[in-house]
Amino acid sequence: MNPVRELGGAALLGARAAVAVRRVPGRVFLRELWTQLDQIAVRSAGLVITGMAFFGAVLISIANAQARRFTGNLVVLGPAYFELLVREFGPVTSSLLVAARYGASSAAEISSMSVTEQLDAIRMCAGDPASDVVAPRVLAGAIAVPALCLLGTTAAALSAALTALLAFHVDGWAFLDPRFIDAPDLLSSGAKVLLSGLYIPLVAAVRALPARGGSAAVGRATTQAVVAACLGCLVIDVLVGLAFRVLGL
Amino acid sequence: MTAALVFQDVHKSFEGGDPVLRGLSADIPLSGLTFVIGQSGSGKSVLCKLAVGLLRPDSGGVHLDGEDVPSLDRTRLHDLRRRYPYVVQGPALLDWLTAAENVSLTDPGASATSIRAALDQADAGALADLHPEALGPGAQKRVAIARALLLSPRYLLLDEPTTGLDNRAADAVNHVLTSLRDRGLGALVVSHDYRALRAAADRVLLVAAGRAAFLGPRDAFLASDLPEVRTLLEHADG
Amino acid sequence: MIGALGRRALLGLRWMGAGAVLSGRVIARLPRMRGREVVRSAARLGADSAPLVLLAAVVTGMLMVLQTQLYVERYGARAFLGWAASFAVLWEFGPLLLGMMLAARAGAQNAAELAALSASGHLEGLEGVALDPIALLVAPRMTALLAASAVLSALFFLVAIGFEMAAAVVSLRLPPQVFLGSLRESLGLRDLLAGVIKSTAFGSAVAVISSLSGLRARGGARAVGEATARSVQRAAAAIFGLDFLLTQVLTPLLGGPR
Repeated sequence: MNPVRELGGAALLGARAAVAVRRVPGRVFLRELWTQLDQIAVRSAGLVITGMAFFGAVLISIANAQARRFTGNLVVLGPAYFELLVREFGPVTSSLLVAARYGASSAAEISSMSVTEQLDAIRMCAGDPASDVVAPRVLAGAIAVPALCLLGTTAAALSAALTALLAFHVDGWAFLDPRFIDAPDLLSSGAKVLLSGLYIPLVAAVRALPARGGSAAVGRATTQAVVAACLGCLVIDVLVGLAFRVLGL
Repeated sequence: MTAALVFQDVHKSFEGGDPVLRGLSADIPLSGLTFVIGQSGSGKSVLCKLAVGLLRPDSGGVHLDGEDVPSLDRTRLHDLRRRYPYVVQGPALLDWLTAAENVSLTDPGASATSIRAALDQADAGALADLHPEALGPGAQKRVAIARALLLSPRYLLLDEPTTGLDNRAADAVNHVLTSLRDRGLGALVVSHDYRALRAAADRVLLVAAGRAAFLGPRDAFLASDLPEVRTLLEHADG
Repeated sequence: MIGALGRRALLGLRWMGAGAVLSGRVIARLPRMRGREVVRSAARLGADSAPLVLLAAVVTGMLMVLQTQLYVERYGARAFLGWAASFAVLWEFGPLLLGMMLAARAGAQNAAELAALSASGHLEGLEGVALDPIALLVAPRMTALLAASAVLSALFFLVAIGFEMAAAVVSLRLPPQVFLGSLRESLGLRDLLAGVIKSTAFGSAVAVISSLSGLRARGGARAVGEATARSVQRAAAAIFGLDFLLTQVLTPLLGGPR
């Protein structure tokens, strides 16, 4: 698990995929893109929305406990919590869920294809797995992951507001109050989800493409890909957060 | 009365497929080496699995040594398999254990001597401390047989023990079988190996079209005029 | 849409039923487990996960400070930072991230290994010679995962809180004494207990779900990949759901005012 080599590998693959995308996208590419969008967005939406809804409700309990210590008043924390959700918790938790769902299934598919020599077949027909298999997924990730994180954050926010109202009998609207949310918050979240969306399918492919052998290789590749994808989301979150802080935002 | 493996009008089909067994009936005495042959996909492995309860028939009866197999619960099946172990085609050895450790799985309290003895009976004594990946497929098969032998059974069910092995490895396995038979152990051997059949079988069961087309002594089988037998033997020799 | 949700819920219930059955069978076989297998599983699933868990803990610590900073800036409650961030780690983010890392690493590996054994016919081969795959293979792994999640959670909390303190010193220039002071004053054994209970619950969910996914694999390499992927997804869903349930249950029991 050498992070430098991993990052390098991902960057190289990303570059190849980017070059592939710039060529006029053929019908095969578009069809694969569509399939992948369906895979990530549609299939993962359920997990992201339900997971984030649960998460939002739990956050309120935490907020409540903290409020009792700080200010004795939960409602006052509302706008700050909403900002925290939009800037930090929403993006990272949603992308973690997508990393678990899509990173795993993507790596499983690609490594199976590699082990059963389907990728070799592509190469022999003058195709390039980087463009035929990886590029559509990376592009789909860049589109779908931000969308999913938006959905997830919304679900968490609504759930938080509802829980505040029903369970703690305070004004739920306070937890949807955007008064503290400014451009840097949105920019930082946007950067995080875009980078995660690019990174998850990329690192899954980096792990999965070289798989050779049999079932053991598929299992190993899938495991490593999920770990790398989840870790990547966490690290991206920290790095972007640090960067914005350093820039004084 | 010798113990027997009895199939009564057994039907079995799998999801989305044609029936594999269509009313197979056979009364197989559990002594000596009984070879079960037939074309690929004719249901030979299915017979073994039915015999030890790894599969249930769609209809019909399966009795092993007097026990009504499909009706047995998990514990009774466990006991049955200790007396009549079934050695699958792929050796199913755990690759992080040595050969000796794999063998000891069937009897955790066994002494090193008895483990060694079981390995020796399968001509695998020298392999005791090796891991499966260091063994060829024939050697792995023999270790798997040794694992079954540790149970001190009087009868084994073996699924294609020599399929996929080169002649030398196959001969090694067949040698083990005949020496076991000479010591009083019987076995049901599902096989494609006609050389072994000619050399070692006591009895032959031919499965064709989902039924028992022939069940009888080896010599009678080889001399039989039945069309199914003829096609099979010509195919084998050709 | 409602139909799809309903079907999902039904599937979830069936899985929970299967999980309960498997857990029952495992518990019944605990006395028959081989100690060696438990140790081996603990090393492969538990100890091998430690580096990842530590890394996640470091990242969590930094994240917590970044986040509570926002609070602190709004309300000037620097003195409370130590407690607030640690409370969040113990009660929520620690168990959640630990659970996700376990699902991603140990869970996926467990599912992959069991799936490979199942798909290749090893499990059937063991049954043929009157061996019990549950006692031999599944029970040791599940036990190891459970124990590992409890142990790793303690490690996680220690490292995360340690890094929180370091990050607070660096970015907020908060003296460690202040950090630790608020910690000692308000954080109690009850909070640690809540964190360990949640972590162990998540670890059990990962253990059961990954074992179930692996055992059901039929086919070839593709089935192994699918079983592994499915294990991670289902475990993630279970963790978030359990998180919600446990928070509701534990808060009145352990989170009462001091």
